[in-house]
Amino acid sequence: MSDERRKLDPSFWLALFFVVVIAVWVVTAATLDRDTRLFPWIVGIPAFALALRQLVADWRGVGAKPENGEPTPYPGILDISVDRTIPAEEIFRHTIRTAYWIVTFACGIWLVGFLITIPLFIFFYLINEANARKLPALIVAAGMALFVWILFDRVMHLAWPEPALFSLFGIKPKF
Amino acid sequence: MLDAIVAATGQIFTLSRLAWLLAGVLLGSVIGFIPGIGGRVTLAILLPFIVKMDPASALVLIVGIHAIGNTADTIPAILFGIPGSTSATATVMDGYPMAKRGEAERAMGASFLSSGMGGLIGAFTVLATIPMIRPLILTFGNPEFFMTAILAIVMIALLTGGAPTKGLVAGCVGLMIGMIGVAPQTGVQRWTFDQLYLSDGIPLIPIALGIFAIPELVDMTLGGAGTKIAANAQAASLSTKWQGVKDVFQHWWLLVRSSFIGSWIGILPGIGSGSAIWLAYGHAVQSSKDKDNFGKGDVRGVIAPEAANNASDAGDWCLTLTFGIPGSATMSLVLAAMVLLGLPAGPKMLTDHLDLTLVIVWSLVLANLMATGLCFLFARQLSGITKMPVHYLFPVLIVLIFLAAYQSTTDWGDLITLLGFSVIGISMKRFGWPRPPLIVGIVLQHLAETYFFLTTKLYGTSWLTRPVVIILFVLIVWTIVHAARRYARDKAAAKA
Repeated sequence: MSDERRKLDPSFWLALFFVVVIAVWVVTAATLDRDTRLFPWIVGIPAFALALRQLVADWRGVGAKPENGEPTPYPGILDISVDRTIPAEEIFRHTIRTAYWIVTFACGIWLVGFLITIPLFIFFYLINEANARKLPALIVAAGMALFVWILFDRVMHLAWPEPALFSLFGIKPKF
Repeated sequence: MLDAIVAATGQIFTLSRLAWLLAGVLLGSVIGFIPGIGGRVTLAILLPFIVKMDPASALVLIVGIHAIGNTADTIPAILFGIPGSTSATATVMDGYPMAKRGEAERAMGASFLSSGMGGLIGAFTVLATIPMIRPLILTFGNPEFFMTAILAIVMIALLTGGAPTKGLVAGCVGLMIGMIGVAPQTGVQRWTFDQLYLSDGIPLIPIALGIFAIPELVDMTLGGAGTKIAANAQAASLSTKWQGVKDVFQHWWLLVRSSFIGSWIGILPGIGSGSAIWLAYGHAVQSSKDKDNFGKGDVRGVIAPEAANNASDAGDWCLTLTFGIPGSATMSLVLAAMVLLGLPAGPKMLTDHLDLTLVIVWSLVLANLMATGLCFLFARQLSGITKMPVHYLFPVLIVLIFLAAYQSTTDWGDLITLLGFSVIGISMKRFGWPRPPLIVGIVLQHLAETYFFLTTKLYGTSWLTRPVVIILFVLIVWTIVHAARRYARDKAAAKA
């Protein structure tokens, strides 16, 4: 068997994650009373067996093993199809970069709240990723902030989360 | 009955009532477009104002808001792959790939018309079944509800074709995620880790947005600055909403079948449109000879769930009105509105207030027509969004997704859930794990567990001999055999 054929199917790691999660679920359900654990076991035990089967299949590389030339990875999956023409490394780099922006936005919300983070995030994202000029970026950021403030704050009276930075300094924001 | 129909017709076809209906449709369209917000929030905002209205006008306004919500939630699903609500998750599967191919207008044309027609068929089905609705529902006991839930999960899990094991595991993981929180029958906390947020269960909206929306957004920006959703601008200019209309008429029989599936699921308490759409989608895949295009932008994957969605809505209304059982969160608000208006939701709506019930049926018909017309009118302008650079759309959509997730329970947990399930969603998409069974499992967990518990406690093993249970069991077996045969055939073809 060549090294290429031994290459682990990336699906293996997700299968492993599901096996571990389901195993924890099934084992911890044992501490519950009979009626409460019945359904978790009825679902969990066959699910564990199936996940284990998938894990073994991915370990053996059934899904990714090239038989005749280049295979189509994960054929026949009922889901939105993935563009396989882009190299995996590029997709990975892009995913990390996008995740960085999403996590930065989430951290911004945690630190200074939604209403301050939204215009800042939009402005800096447009400048850095869309190569937008400052004025259009500013207009989009301000427009979105205004829309969110009117709809979610003034109309819906959404209970905004208390920003960590404000709590630290004992500031009570009006929004 | 005939007198009530005449009275209801007289009540609805007045200038003021039609104006209220249009106002509801227009109001709903303003907010209904925003992912995760929809008609429920519009209704909640308006609830204090409708108390002083006369009951018929208030009901007409509510129906208007609700009807457009179910039609407009498709727009973000098709344009960005972001389900506007859980009942638009199935539309994402083929609607978004169509938009990427430059056929957003065609997808929207098909979707709006299917929604409208589905709503009409649903309303007329409900109207026709009102006299026999009680015995019809009573044929479904706890065992039948349980088997319906299992059928839905098995059908979606096994439709994954190339990976039945992955589909079943995803469905089971969905069921197990749904079990987090207080057990419905014993009140014992399961896997809540002493977190108050988890005791009520994880809300569905942040999960659905994390599983479907974020992975699509990540992929959307893959091409770098200047990329557009519709990569093929030529196709975008050729594909029109009229092509979508033609598609609906070409697949009219699928539309009718999906509408009946939706109507029936809508009438059954607790199942709701979140399951109806997947059952209809699964039926479309299963009943098609050429299944390969599903998930890649097959218009039938848009027609079936959209028709079922609006058709189930009519059934949902019927259930809320005649039994006082709300089938969804929005319907709970409708029930609250009825209480505020002094209307007794329950069997009296079929006797003392039959005219009002029929006003609602009429309103559903007209609101669906208005909503379809309105969305149809702006289909071209809306599809133009797919020609905008995605890097301008991305930050705006991320903001809307975070807000939609946060407004579920206004807890930090919503945002953590969104981020956590985004990682799972991205991994599932990349590594060929189907995402629909996970969502269907979560949607149906409460129903499946509750009815399983009641079935085993009340019937022992005798429930296995009930005729409807046997029919549903045969359907489940047939689905499994069908999937196994298809899997074996595909495997043999790959080897050849």
